[in-house]
Amino acid sequence: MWNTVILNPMVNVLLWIYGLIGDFGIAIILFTILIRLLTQPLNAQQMRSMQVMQELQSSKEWLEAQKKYKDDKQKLQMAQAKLLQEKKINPFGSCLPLVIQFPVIIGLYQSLTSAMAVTPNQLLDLTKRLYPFINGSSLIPIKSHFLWMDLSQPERVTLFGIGIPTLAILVVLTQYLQGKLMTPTSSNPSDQSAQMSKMMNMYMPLFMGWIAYSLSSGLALYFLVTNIISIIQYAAMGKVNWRNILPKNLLPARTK
Amino acid sequence: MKTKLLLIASLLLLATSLSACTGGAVASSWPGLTVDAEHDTAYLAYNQYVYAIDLTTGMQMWKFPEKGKGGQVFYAAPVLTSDGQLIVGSYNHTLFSLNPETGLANAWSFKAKHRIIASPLATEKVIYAPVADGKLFALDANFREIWSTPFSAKGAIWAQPAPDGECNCIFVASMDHRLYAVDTRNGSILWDKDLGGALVGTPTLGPDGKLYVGSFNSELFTLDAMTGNIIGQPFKTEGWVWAGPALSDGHLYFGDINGNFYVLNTQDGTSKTTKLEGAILSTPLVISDTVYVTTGAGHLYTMDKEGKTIKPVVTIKGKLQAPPIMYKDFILVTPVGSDAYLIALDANGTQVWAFPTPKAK
Repeated sequence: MWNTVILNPMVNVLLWIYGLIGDFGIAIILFTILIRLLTQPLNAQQMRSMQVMQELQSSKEWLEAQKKYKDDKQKLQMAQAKLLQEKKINPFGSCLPLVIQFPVIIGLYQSLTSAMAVTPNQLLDLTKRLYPFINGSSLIPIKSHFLWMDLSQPERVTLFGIGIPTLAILVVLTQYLQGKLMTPTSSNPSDQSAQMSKMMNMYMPLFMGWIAYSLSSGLALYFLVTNIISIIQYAAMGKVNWRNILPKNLLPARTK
Repeated sequence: MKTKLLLIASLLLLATSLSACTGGAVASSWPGLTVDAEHDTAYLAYNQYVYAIDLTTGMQMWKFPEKGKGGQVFYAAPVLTSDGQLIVGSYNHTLFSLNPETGLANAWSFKAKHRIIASPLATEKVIYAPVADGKLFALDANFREIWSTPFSAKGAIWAQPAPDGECNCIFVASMDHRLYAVDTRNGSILWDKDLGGALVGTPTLGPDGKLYVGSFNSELFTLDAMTGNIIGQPFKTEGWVWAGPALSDGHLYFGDINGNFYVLNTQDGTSKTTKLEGAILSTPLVISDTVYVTTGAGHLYTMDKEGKTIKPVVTIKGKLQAPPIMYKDFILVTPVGSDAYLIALDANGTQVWAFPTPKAK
C-alpha cells in the first residue's frame, strides 16, 4: 500500500523531472516545490490554525484568565481549555498538518534513496518501481553530483583538512529562521502555546541539522529548499513576524 | 514538562521512522563466494563478515573481523592471489588483505574514496581494484599504487575487470554506459565504446578475440577486443542484462532481470529463449554439457546446452542472486533471506550441508 500510493509515484515523478532537466539537484528542488504546492492546503490550514490561536491569545477573555489565575496553573489551564471549547478551536490544529507531513518526509527520503540507487540491491529494487513511461535504461545511473555535492553522500566541504557540513549548517539556520519568523508574538511568554513554540524553535533546527548531517545531501537539499520556500510563502501572505528577528530600531513604529 | 516530553517523543518517532527507512540493517547486495578447491575451503563475503568455510563439512573455519563494524560490509567475492593473500573490498572504502588460513588482516590495506562493490582482479603481479566512484587502481602485492594516475571512468564500476593477457590490457565495464580497454602498463584508455546502457557485468572474452557484454539497454553486444568496434547488430533482450554471459563451445548463456534465459549461437546468430521464474542476476555455470542457472525466485535450474530443463528445479527458501559454483560433485549456492548463507547440493539437488546464518545457529 505504502509503495503503491506514496513511494512509487514519488520515485517516478522525481525520475521524470530528472529525465526532463538532466540535473538531479535541480530535479530535487523542483520536486520539492511540487510537493510544497501539493501540501499547500495542509500548510494553509496550519497557518489558519496558528492565526486563530494567536487571535484568541490576544483576546480580552484570554488575557483576563491569565491575569486572574496567574498563580494557579491548573485553574488557568482549565479556563483556557474552556475558552478553546467555547470558541471551537482545536489546540493541536496547527500541529496536525505537520504530523501528516511526516509520511511525506519519509516517502521523500525513500524516493531519493531509491532513485539514487547506490548499491546493487537498491538498483534492483528501483527496477521494480519504474512505471512503463520512464526510460530507466537511459536515466540510470543518476548523475548524483550537484554543485560541490555528491547527493548520495552526506555533504562536507573540506577546509584545511576538516570536513565542514555546510549544508547541515544552512538547514539549521533556515529552520531556526523559519521558526522565528512564523511564530506569532505572544502576549504571555509563559503560556503553554508560547512555551511549545519556543521549544520547537530550539529543538527542531538541531534535529533537522542532525538529519542533514547524517544522511545523504539530497535529503538535506530538500530540507533547505523546503525551509526557504516556507519563508517565501509566509512572507508573500504577509504572515511573517519580522519582529522576532530584526533589531527594534529597524522595525516600523507601532501606531497606537 | 509534559509538552517538552511530547515534543521530544514526536521527534524521536520521526528519527526512528527515518532510521528504519534508511535500511541500515538490510543487506545492500548479495553474497560473494570464492572457492579454493585445492584446500577445500570457500570464502564467503556477506554483510559485516568474511567467512572461511570447510567445504567437506560446511563448518566455519574463521570469520573476519571478529566483531563486525557498522558500515564495514562485504559483498564482492574475495579473491585469492598467487602470493597467498585473500583480498576483499568493503563498503567503507577499504580493500583488505587477509591471511586465507587464519583470517587475520595483513599489515597493509588500501583506502579508496568510495564503496568497493566489485571484486578486484588479481593477476600474477598486479591487483586491479575497481571502486564505485569510477576509479580503477593498479596495486602491487603490498597495495602500493603502480600507475601514476588511476584509471577513471565517468560512472561507477560494479563489475570485476576482465583480463586479456595478449594485449597488455584489461576490459572495464562501467555504469557510465561505456566499455573500456585499459592499458595495464599505465592505466590509459586504449579504446572505449558507448553501449547505450549501464554495464554492471564482467565482459566475456572469447578465444577468437571477441568480447561479449550485456547492458541495461536490454542488449548484448559483440565487440572486437582489439579495436572496440561493435560486430554485427546487438542481440535484443526483453529485460536488462545484469551479469556477463558464459561462453562455451561457441554458445553464449545469459539472462535478464525479467527471468528470460538466452542461448545464443555466436556463429550463426540463432537463439533460444526460455522464460524462468525470477530475475537472472548472475553468470550461468557451464560444466561439460550442463548449464546451471540461479534466479531471484530461489530456483536453481539445471539445463542442457540448448536451454531445456533436464532436472527438476531446485527451490531454496530465499533468493539466489549470486552465481552457482561447482565444487567436486556439489553445486554451491548462496541464498539471500534464507536460514543459510551457503548450501551444498548434490547432483540430484538434495542438500548435503548448509552453513547457517548466525540467527539460525
